[in-house]
Amino acid sequence: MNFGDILIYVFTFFGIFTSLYFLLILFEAKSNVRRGLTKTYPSVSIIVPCFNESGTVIATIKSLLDLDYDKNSLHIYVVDDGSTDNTYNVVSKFIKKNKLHKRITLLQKENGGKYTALNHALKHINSKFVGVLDADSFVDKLALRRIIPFFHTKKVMAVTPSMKIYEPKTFLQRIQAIEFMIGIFLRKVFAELGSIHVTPGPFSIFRTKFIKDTGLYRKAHHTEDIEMALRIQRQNGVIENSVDAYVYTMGLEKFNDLLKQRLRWYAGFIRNAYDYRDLFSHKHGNLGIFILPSSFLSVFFVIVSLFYVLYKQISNIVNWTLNLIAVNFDLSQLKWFRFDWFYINVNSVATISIISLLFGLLLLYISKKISGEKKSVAWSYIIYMVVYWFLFGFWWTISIFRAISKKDRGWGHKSNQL
Amino acid sequence: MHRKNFSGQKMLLVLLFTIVIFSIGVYIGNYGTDKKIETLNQIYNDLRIETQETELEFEIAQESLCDQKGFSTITQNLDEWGYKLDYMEGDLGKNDPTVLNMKRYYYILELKHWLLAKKQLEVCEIPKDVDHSIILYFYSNDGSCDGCERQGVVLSHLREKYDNIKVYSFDINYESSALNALKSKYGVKNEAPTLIINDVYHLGFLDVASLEKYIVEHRS
Repeated sequence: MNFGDILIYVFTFFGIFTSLYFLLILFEAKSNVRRGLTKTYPSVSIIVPCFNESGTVIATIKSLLDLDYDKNSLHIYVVDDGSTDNTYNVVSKFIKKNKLHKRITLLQKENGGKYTALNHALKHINSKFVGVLDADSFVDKLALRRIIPFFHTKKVMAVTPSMKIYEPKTFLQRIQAIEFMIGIFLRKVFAELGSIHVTPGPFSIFRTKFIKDTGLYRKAHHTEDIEMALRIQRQNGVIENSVDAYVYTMGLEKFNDLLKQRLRWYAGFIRNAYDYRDLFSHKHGNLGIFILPSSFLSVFFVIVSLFYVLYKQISNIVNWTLNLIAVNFDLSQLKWFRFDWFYINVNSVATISIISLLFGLLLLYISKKISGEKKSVAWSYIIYMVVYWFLFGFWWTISIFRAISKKDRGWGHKSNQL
Repeated sequence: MHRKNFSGQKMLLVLLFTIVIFSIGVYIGNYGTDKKIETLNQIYNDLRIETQETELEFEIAQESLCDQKGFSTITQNLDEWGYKLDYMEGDLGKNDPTVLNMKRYYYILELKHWLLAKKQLEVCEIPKDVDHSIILYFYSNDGSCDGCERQGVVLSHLREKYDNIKVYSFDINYESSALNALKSKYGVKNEAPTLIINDVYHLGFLDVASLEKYIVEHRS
């Protein structure tokens, strides 16, 4: 058995094991997947932090105004974090024109980063719940009414929504759409295991008291959404997930923007996980024993397999080139493909890989069902299967170096500060 | 129990299911491999009978060997078996007992075929050109031989280019009395790639052009 075979055996065993475990958890959680619409309307504040978002902020605000929620119980705080464009004027005019002073508060401050904008708004907020919506995202009309019922006990400190990519068109957006769709499935499972470790920036709703009592938002390596989730976990609070509370965000189109975003997410995850390393303990149940370690283990598998495949492919290319030189680039004598059943690979490595692929398809099907996606995603999934693991391994490899280097590289990109 | 709490029982249950699914996968895979070995055995049996028949035919009437059509069928079958054995070696590994056993049979048939081919050269009026060359190729796949893969490609290329050229490949590290006798006959040491081109010893890689030139130069 060669190294590649061992890698496939270990990788697929781990993949099938976690898939089965997650499916079992989801099956057990059937009754808790959806909780319907709230009939009571506790006070909620939504913060929209902006930095040069004049082009998109109005659409974000409109989607919040359109929320199906008691108007007197919902207040919007737009924070202009020292924009150099006319974000402030655009929002100000919109408020005046539509006479929305009672529903929207516009704040302005010197640029200091997202967490400072959120904390600036929190000084003005006394509502029971608070959420954030980035200025490039918008919410489904019923999202808030679907989130509130999940605050069913006082232990629930946050409820996360389901994030989707808005009308994916390009190659990269399609990959992100599938990634987010699988993310919806995973977040639900993690919620059932009490192990959500990211409360996504767009429209996660928190108990205001918890944030204020525990020292507001922190810089948290530019991933305050990860830090906040880990903070709740450390305090043994509960993070729920409302699977049909949809939030839409624009998929990034440029490879570089996507790269920068992922490097921030993953490096932020590593650094925050290090800051909260006490969570890797049996005291924190599923999160400490299984979810956090297996997150890192899966990254390890992907990186090892990425480098192994790259090494094999480069060796193959070198060999093919040397072989071609040896025959003086004469391709006329090449044995062309002749079909023979004998050469169809049916050994145990191949059959286990196929079983693992079928599990992947099953998870996608369930993710599609649970996320309420109606459109066909077949093509996107093929693109995802071929390209994603490669990108994932690549992003993580660089992120690990970044996390170790400890240099503060800022947000890296302007939009999608999820 | 709070849902955050870790359930070892649940994990164990899932672990058992995973092992069952994994075992089914391994079983199906092994079944497929067994079927392929059966196919190889079948080819071997057919080939053995064909070779014995040709040998007998030759004993009865020497000129029967000059019937190119009959001889080329055995050559093709031997080639096919060689390719499939190669594939199985890649699949099961070079130290697999089944592969090692089959290699033994394969080398015996190759040697028989080689002897017949040499007799054919003696008995029949066959031109001494590149097309009718006989090459013994000693390779190593233990990672110590740099040029072996390329040499294999070159020889395959020649086999496609010339209809009648005969190439017999042997793992230089394989221990068998017949193979040892052959190695000692030509003074082959444990170095690869070694080529015996029309009974002339050559150590080291030769590309297509050099090999063709070598044959022409040593074929008088």
